[in-house]
Amino acid sequence: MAVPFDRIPDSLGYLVLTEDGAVSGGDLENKEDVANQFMNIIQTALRIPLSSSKKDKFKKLSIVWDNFMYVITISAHKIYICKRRFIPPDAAMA
Amino acid sequence: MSTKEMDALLRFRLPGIAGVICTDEHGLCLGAKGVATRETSGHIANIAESAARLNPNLPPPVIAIESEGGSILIKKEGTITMGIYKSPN
Repeated sequence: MAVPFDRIPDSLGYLVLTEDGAVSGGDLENKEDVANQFMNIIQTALRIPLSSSKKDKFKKLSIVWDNFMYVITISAHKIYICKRRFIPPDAAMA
Repeated sequence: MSTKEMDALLRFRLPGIAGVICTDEHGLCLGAKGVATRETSGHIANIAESAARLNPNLPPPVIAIESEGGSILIKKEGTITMGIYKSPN
């Protein structure tokens, strides 16, 4: 399966979870144990209502540390997890 | 954070904030204001704890859950977890 994660700027690794198994690369290569932790997080995130509409499921789930972040999205029965370098914007607040 | 401070956050601070929720490490709701519902507190504490376990050597991360109808930012700080609901821009 072709995974176009190399086109994502500052990508450090990826994990794609499907019903048939997982595809991984970079920092997340062969980290299937982490996949279970992500599954738990995703299932919990889906239970948190974000608006009055119950059909409104999350489009993007980001888990952000000081220097890197995981970005998670679901599409076509696949869970895409990308580890990216995080460069915080200037501290100036609007 | 007191309920007064929660009120202040909702009324005067950053525009777009629709609700605030505070829980302890067991998921017990310590306060909920605006669109935040007290029943969500367990899920908020759970996701903050699970995300922190991804990298136990680092401080707990910020979790952003985004949808078309709104988003929430979650951060664990010590034994307290806080969630801030934002309405779409």
